[in-house]
Formats: sequence, structure tokens, C-alpha cells
Amino acid sequence: MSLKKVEQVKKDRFFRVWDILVYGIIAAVIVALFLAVTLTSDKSTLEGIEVYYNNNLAFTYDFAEDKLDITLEDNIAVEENGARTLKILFCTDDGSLAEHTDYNLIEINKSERTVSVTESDCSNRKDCVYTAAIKNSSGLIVCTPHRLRIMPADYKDDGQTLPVG
Amino acid sequence: MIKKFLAVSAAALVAGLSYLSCPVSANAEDDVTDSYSYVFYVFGTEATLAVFDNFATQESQDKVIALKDEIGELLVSIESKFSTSVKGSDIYNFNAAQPGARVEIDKDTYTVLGMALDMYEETDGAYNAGVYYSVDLYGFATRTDDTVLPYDREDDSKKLPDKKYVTAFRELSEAFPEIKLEYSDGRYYAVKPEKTVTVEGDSTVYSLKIDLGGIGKGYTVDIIDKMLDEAGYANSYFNFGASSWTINGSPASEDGTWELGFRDPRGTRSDNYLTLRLKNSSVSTSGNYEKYYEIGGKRYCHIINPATGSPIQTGISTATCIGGSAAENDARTTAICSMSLEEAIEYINSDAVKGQGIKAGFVYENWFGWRTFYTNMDEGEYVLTLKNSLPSWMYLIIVFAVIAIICAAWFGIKKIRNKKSNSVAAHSENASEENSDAVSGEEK
Repeated sequence: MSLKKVEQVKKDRFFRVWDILVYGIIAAVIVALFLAVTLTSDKSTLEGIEVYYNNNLAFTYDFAEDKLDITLEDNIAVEENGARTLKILFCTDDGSLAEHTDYNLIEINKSERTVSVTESDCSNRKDCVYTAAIKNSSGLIVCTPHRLRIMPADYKDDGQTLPVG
Repeated sequence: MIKKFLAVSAAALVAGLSYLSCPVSANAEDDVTDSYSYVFYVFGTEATLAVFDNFATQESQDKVIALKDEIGELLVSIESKFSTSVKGSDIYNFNAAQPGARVEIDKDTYTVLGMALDMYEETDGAYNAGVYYSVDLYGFATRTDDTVLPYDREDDSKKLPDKKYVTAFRELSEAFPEIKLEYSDGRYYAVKPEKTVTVEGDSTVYSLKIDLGGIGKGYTVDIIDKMLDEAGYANSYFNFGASSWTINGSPASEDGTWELGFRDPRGTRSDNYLTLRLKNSSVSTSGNYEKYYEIGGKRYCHIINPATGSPIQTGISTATCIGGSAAENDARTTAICSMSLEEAIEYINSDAVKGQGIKAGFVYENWFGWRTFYTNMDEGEYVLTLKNSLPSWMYLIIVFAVIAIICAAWFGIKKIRNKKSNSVAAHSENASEENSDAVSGEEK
């Protein structure tokens, strides 16, 4: 084997090692980013919800038992109760369930265990509709004009830290 | 730490259990704390009252319910004076009046308007209650009726308002300090400034409109603080819209302090950037997270910068003031959000703020999104948990930069290796075809 050939082989090997290192760093960056995104997400699931109207309990829903318990019969109607979604219609004392006035439509997704408000005529801004769906025990949806509060049954409000702002 | 946690949980458990249990004999329950809380809905927001005391007797329960009713009445009466949308309120009447008109107002309105004018002076115009038209222009004012105005847009959150309106309403708000307050024969009056503005292509003549919403909340909180003190509820708190608080003692901690968590402007309700312990004090905050929409990646919030007539873009995303009058602090926090970084630092360390023992702080966000907390508090008084995350495009640039550096290094090494092998080849007699690659590589 000539000296030239030896040099060539040496050179090739040298670069192969560095190639692997470069690819390795890129792969490590991708894996690290992926892990950072997946590990930092909140994994607690929603067990059930409590809905209050003007400080009074309107209804509760439990995901595990698929149990709906309505307390304020005059303000709450079940619009749809399917295998996957449960749609609850709420109206204030001034509104009407039949005519959909002063109302909020609360959609409970049974399979994904999420709760959101999909329709409302509360104000132009409709903060309740644009609030992100409740997915875990720290979510909360409030419709101030209708005095409606939707909160997880195990709402993480330990009463120790006062939420300012 | 664990000890403290156990003590706190035990206290909370006791409080919770005694709340559930039926009234037992009062003297046996002396050191047990019951809790009573109530949510009021007023001014388009929530107000929460919480009282911790012994509610074993019927008498004590009646007392707290009477206080709740009294607070409820106060809130309704305040709304009927300060609301911009309730017909017949002092502010509604003032806003509807002709330029130069003398409008009779209630004593509360007189007091708060006077405070607002003082705060305009103190903050050098950074707090200005006369920006109502700008607030409405950007779609943040409450309208209860179906009024349609020439500058209305179909969807406020999709398109920015016309520049000529922004300029005109900014100019109009400059008339705010010209409001004159008068008192004669036991009656209170506010005189509306003569100033009006018109906008090209719009026949309406606009005169000054004011909104005392922010400062009015703090004013109410100050009154309720006195009510709680008079009722003897040492362990209690009241908050108005989560932004104005009066905080008394806590039954769950040894020193009676509450832990406060300040909301991260970029996070949700449960994300805090700052925590601190406090008792017997007021707390006010303002921030760009309460009401906002985003157009072209820019956040447009309900706080109007009087200097531009547009939502704040100063980089100050939230400000907080602790201690003193909640009404004044509401104005101060709003003003800080409208200041430049230098002005805000100077202001929180001024005689008007630090000199009066008011603890203040704010979060400043620089051009690429890096956030810093500035405060006049001493280290150790607070715990900062402000998280900094770079905008997504910065990550892309970093990844590309890393790849570029690796490639550059790779090519650099290759070049050096080629040089070496070339010199080796030059010495060798058979240097010819096989090395031509390396040679051309060097030439490049």
C-alpha cells in the first residue's frame, strides 16, 4: 500500500468521525427541544366540573361516572347528550332557554375531558367563548356579564396565595 | 419549609372543616377560624369579599351577612355614579354635557375626580382619565346600548382604527387637566373644558369624555378597607377585579401575612412572576393581559398611553404598587405602563412613590422580548419567578448559527487537512491524479 493510499484512508476516517459528531449534535438538539416541550406540559386530567351562577351551584358534571347533576333547573337545559359530547344550555334569570337569550352554551367533551363555552350573547367581546377550554384542575372560565363561573371540581385554589392581577 | 407547609395545611384544614360543621358552642371554638366569602358582580367584573372569623353564633353570622349587604349596596351606588355606560350616572352626564357646561356631581365623584386631577399632575400626564374616546376607538369601552359611532369598525380585533381619529382623540385628552371642580351651597360641580375636536369627513364635534373606572375601583377598595376595620375583621381581604386589593391578616400563617402571587402578563391566571408576603396593606396592579387583542403579532390592550392615544407599546407589560391609597395606586400603576423605562425607574424612586413608603415594581420587555423586573423594594422582600423565553425566531437564528459554526469548523478542518496532505503529496514523487481533488479544494 502506498503512502498516498494510507493518507487517504486516514483522512476519510477522520472526517467520518466528525460527521457523526455533527449529526449527533443536531439530533441531540432536536431531542432536547422535543423533551423540553413534552415534559413541561401539564398532564393532570380533569375529573369533573362545577358551574356556579350568581354564587349558586347550577350544575356539576363528573367525567368518570358520566354523571350530570343539575341544581338550578330553571337556568339549565341539556341540549345534546351524546357519547362524545354533552352540550349544556345556560341562561340567566332574565334570559330564556327556549329563545336562546342571555345564554351560554357549554360544551363538555367527554373523550378529551375538556370543557369550553362555544356560544354566548353576553357582550361584543365574549371573553367566555375566547377563554381556552378547561383541560386540567387549574383552568377557569368566567362569564362576568352573566355571572357564570365554570371551574374544575378540584380547582387548584388553595386559598394560600392570593391571585393579584 | 416542610414544617411551614404542614402548619399552613393544618390551619387551612381546620378552617375548612369548621366551615362545614354546624354551629357548635361558641366558647369551645374560640381559636377556630371559619371563612365567609362572597363574589359580587359589578362594573363588568368580579369583586370578592373574604372574612375569616368565628361564625359559630347566629349573631356573628348575621353580622357578616349585614356587612356583605352593605358592601353590595356600596358597589351598586359607586357603579351608579362612576359608570360610563349607565344612563344618569355622574360620569355619563358629564360625558354627555356640552363643552363648557357645569355638571352637578355627587361628593364621591367630586373626590375621585379631584384625585384623578392630582394624579395627572403627579405623573406628569402619564395618568389621564380623559382618554375615554381613545379607549372606545380601540374597542375597549363598555357600551350597553346599540350606539353606533362614525369611527366604529366591524371587528375591533381585526383592523386598527383610522390614524386621524387616533391623533384627534389624543389631542382631545390633553384637555383633561382643564376640568374645574366647584363647590357651592353644599353642592358639587364639574365644569367641562371648552375644547372640541373634529375629524375630516366626520360631522361630529367631539368633546372631552372621561372614565374613572380604574381609580374608582381603588376608591371603593379604600372605603371597604375602612368598613372591614370598623367591623373588627382583622383577618379578611377584599378585591375588585383582581387588580385592586385591600389585604388584612391571614388566619393560616404564623405572622398573619398572606402570600400574594402576581400574574405573569404572558401566562394564564395561575402563572405568577412575583410572589411576596403581606398584611394590612393595599395592592394595585395594571397590565396588558386583562383585555387585549393582537394584530400583526403586536398586542393592543385596554391601557391607553396618553402621549400617543394608542394602547401602550412602552415595553412595560405590568406594574404594581403596594401600600397607601388603592385609588392613587390604581392611577400610578396605569401611569407607569405609559412611561418609558427611564421615566418609570425615576418615578418609582421619586418622593411621590418611594418617599411615601409605597413599594412599586414593573416588568420591562426589551425589543427582542427579554424581560426584567425593576422595583424600589429591597432584595429579600419578594421572590421573583419571572421566566424569560426568547421569541421563536430567536431560536431559529440560534439553531442556524450553531449549524453554521459547525459547518465552518468542518470546512476549516478539511482545509487544514488538505494543506497537510498536499504538503505530504508534494514531497511524494507520485503526486498526481488522486490528489487533484484536494488541490482544487484548496483553490476554492
